Amino acid sequence: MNHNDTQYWKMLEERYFDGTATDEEERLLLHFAATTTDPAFRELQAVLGFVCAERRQSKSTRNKRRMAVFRYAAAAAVLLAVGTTTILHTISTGSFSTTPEEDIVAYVGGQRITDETEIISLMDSTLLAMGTGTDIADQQLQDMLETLD
Amino acid sequence: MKHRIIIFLLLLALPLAGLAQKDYNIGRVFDGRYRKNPNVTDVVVHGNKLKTPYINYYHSITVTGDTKIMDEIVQAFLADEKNAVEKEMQRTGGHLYYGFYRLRNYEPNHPFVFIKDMRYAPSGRKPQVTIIYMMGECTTADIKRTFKK
Repeated sequence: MNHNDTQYWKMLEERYFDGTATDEEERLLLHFAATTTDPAFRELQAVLGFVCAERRQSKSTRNKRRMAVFRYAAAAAVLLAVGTTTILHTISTGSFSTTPEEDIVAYVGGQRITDETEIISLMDSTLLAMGTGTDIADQQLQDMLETLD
Repeated sequence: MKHRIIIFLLLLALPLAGLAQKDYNIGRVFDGRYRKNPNVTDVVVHGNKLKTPYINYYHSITVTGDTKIMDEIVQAFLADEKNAVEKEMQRTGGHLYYGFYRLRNYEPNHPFVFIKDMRYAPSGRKPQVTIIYMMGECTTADIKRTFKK
């Protein structure tokens, strides 16, 4: 079969409009319609052009819907991850800091200190100073309880 | 159906994201904002650097001479009093001298906050405020024992 033969293409056109053309024949016909300048096939070109445009539009709409769903899902996942991570960070570390903290660090007069012995000494002296107030509160409570007895 | 699930996830994630930093006013005190101040000593020790096994996080801030920051810290402490599960307060002339509370906890970690404002000490007054935030899988009595060592 000579694919340059007008009769051949007319036969395929007829089979297409009858709905009896195979997928392969339809594919060949589509390619022919896209390249021919023969005015005898103007009607075919008009119909096939409309069909292709509709297929492209439908695919584009489906893709747009899929992208929108994907974006919403991604946003939800990110929010969930951020929220969960933040909670776990606060629960597990106790830290209110918005940046990662080292295990042991001090800032004295604006100067960063990393000497562990010095930092532990600072912590101990602060606890000792705080304990004096605690003693007083406990003593007052003890005094009140003894009075009640 | 897909859209409903995604919207549900979004709605679930939003409150989670805010929950961690919550409405703890002392979060603003301990977020590192005072570290560069020349009148502040900021000490952080956590994890296995802490000697006491049941305490897993320690953060203290001591401010000397800066009235603005001292007042900010005291106000933040007092603002969170409503979130306290246990508390003790000692006042001098209507001003807070010593305060302690245990915050609503995320099991098994319990958060404790102690504050001492030496401007209103019964004796030995000085312009200094110390606030300590600790977390531990322990009771209040256990925490107070750390002050008496």
